[in-house]
Amino acid sequence: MTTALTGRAPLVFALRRLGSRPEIILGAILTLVLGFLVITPLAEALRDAFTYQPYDLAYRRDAEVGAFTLFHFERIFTGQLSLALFYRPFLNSLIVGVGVTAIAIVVGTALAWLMIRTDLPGRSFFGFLAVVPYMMPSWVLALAWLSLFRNSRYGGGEGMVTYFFDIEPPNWFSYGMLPIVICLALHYYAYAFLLMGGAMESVDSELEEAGATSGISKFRRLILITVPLLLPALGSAIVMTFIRVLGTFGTPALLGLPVRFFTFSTQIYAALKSRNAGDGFVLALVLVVMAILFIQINSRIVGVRKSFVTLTGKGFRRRPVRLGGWRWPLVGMVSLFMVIVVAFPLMILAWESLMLKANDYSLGNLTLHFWIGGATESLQTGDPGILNNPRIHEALWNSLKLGISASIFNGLLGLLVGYAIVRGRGSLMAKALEAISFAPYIFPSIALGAIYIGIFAQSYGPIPALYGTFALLILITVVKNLPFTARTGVAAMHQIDKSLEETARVQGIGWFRRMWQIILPMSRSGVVAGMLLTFISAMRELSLIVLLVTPTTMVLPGLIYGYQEQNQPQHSGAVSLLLVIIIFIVNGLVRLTTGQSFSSRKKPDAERAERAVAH
Amino acid sequence: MEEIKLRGVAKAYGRAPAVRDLDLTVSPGEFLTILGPSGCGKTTTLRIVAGLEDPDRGQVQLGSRLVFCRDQGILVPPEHRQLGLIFQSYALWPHMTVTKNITLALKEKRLPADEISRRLDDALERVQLGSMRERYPSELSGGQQQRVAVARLIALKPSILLMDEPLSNLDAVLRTEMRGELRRLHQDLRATTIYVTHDQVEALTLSDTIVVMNDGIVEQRATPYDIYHRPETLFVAEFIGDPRINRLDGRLTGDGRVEFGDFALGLGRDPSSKSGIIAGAVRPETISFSQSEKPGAIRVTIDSIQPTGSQTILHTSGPAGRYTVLQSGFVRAKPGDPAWIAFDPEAFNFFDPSTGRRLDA
Ligand SMILES: Nc1ncnc2c1ncn2[C@@H]1O[C@H](COP(=O)(O)OP(=O)(O)O)[C@@H](O)[C@H]1O
Ligand SMILES: [Mg+2]
Repeated sequence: MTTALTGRAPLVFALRRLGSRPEIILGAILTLVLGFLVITPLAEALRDAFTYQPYDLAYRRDAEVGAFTLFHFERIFTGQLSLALFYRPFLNSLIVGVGVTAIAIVVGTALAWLMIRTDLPGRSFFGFLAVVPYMMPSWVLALAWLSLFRNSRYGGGEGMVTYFFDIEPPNWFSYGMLPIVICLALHYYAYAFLLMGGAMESVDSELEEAGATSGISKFRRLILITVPLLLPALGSAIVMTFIRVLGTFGTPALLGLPVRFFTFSTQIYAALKSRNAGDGFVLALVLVVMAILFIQINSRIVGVRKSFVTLTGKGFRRRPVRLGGWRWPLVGMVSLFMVIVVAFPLMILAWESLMLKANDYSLGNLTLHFWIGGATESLQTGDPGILNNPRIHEALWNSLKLGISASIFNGLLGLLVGYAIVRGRGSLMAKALEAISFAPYIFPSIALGAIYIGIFAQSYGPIPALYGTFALLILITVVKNLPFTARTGVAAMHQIDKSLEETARVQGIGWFRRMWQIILPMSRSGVVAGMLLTFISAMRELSLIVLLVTPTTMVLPGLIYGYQEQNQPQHSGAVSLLLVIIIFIVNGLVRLTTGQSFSSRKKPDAERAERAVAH
Repeated sequence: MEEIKLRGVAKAYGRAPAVRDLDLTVSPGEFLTILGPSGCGKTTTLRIVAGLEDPDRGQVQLGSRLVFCRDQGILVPPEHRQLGLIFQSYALWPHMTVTKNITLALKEKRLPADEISRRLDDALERVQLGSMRERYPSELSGGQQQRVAVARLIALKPSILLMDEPLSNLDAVLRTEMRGELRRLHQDLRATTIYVTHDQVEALTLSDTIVVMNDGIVEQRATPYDIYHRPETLFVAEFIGDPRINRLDGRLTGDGRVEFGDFALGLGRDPSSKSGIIAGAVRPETISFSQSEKPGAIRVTIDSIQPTGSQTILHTSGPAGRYTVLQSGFVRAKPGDPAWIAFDPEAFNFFDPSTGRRLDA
């Protein structure tokens, strides 16, 4: 060997070695790209919060844009306006968050217990119904509430209750804290139901049986075995609900803004809409800090979040608890609940969409105009019915584009991230990637949207200015759903024994072919689950994109919010229905076409992806 | 047929060494078995040969090709080493039919279609699975799955074959049957083979050469006969053989005799120049056993009797030691009965108890 070669040898070797470990190259690329997408926005938001923004010049003539300042913090925490800007919304968000979480957890857990542990008649049907809210936008209930209980004092005219019974509901009942908590709780119970149900199903096995055979009493078995086994799931259900509620925008906006009831999310929206970015970022940061603190406190209380619960599934079932005389009363109650939560709101929306004149609920007022009619100047603002309305068609097309492209990107990312994490297990890169892909989970949606405005308003590094582009909507949707798809990808990858890929490798099959022929087909159901979750979330999500949409990039949820703001209940009702129907259809189609996979009975449902992140 | 050559190969996971300073040469066409207790580094060695694991030091050469040498910047990834590997788990792709499992790699090599179907037919016929081509692995029994894994290799025709405990998932009957199958695979392919196992019966029945590994190093490399009869170390002596070899600690008297607790042996040879403590090892079947008194025999008491039909394992104890005896035939006795045993000095192997290494006259 010549000395020249020996001198280069270590480098050559290092490169070849890297070349023979695709998971490291892949992991490094993913870590860099995702790190950029997740960490820089946070850094940018921090910077903007601590420096003067153009908007601030109105208050501080001498300020230099970009110079360091605590101005925003002073304004928000100690200034004259701090009560309205910060403390009241903070308190409101906290109360709403805690209240909704408490109710949702109790309701969700009780339902899960009924469906999984008891002999409730029709429980599998109810079990299916119970997760339907998951496929609906969270603010559908708020729309229904307004239709029912609106009073004439704040725009929009009287609601059904006033129309039919001639009772005008008081403000505290029609708007503000109470209806917000109720509407959100009746939506978010579905998440608790999913998580607790999943845990109950898999816990339902040997451990408890072991307890039974070793002669521990029924009650002590519950306390000693069942509860500790369910605690981790309970912990994640609490955290998940709380963070989602903190970040939700639609319901607090629809039910709160008419009476100037602000939560953090609506306050952030107001700040950013009035171009007061600095304040908005401070509030968004506080929201992120609240989420992190909550996770910390919760994990202290619930303890180390070990995943006792395996995801692998429907274990065998014990003999169900007999409800006895309670059977039929409980069926009645559960049916009523499902009607209130699922059927009723959709029916009200349908009704709203069929009214010629708003606020007139008489049968004679029914029309199909807002579905199939053309542009009629005298009716509403002259917007044509949804089937002839180019604005709606465009928003629908945009929504579908967003859902489809985000879910394709996310499916791919979930697969690749899962692969890089599982194959690189133990390396620093894998740990970094795991942390980064989980990070968006702790960003309440509205805060993430606010932060993304901040960073992508101008060109940033290699990325051009994205504000107002469709790409930004796709980007934020992908990032926000990354924790779910990544976790699902990891779970799917764990099911694939390493030797299956190594065999292929030794037989001379290259990396791309291995991914295509072996890894992808074997993790298909997990990947599809992640994609479906992303699709649903992209279609129904308002909080995430409400700050980012522009008239040219309008999507259905944004359009609905706009109609509601402009007092066009027929349009908002019709479009909401359309949205829900599309989600139902896609969900059904995906389940039908990909249900039977070769080896596992596991269906690629979004619920699975939802659960994956909680462990 | 290609040679496999490892020189100075070492690999540690974190700070725990799995393989230390391994030199190993497998001659072209040889069937070599790496035998050792669980955790001794067998799988690691095999994975290093396959390229699935990079050693920290050393060289790996396959045929005339150097496939790993850090100092020269050489690293050939597994997909270019052109070898065959059978895992303990068979590693059949569950989402592909038997046919697809066998032909995937052939298609990847862009072999002509008629060549592929010829190899497929041939391989399936060889393992007698012709009627199972369209089945999925989950629809096959364990033995059939194993045979698909074998057929996959037959079709691929590698010149080097690596197997990692391929029989350990099978039941006893199938195991015997598949042993023959694997030996046949080796002969058909005439591939240089490394077979990894912790089962000494597999090693003794299958191999041309056995390498006994312990704690990351090679204890001995020899033919099955020599491994059994002339163990190089105490570890090998005690690891090989069922029932276990008898280990007796004795003292050299300096006049060509060894004194053990219950008896002394005149060796007519002196296993060591200096007198001192010595470890003797003697296989149970070389001890002669009698239930009536014999001149020169040592009187022992029978502790337990395990007849297996054609032979009987007896655990006995004398005044100063315990001895395991393997006697052919069905011995009828009960615990507590007296018996007489005698040793053949030629059957003894001697070791230095401090180093564990063999001592020869
Ligand atoms: N991927 C790994 N990470 C850490 N330690 C390992 C890994 N693989 C093997 N080891 C350790 O290396 C030693 C040798 O393992 P292995 O080669 O699998 O042994 P064998 O196949 O002989 O049972 C063992 O102590 C084992 O715990
Ligand atoms: Mg092993």
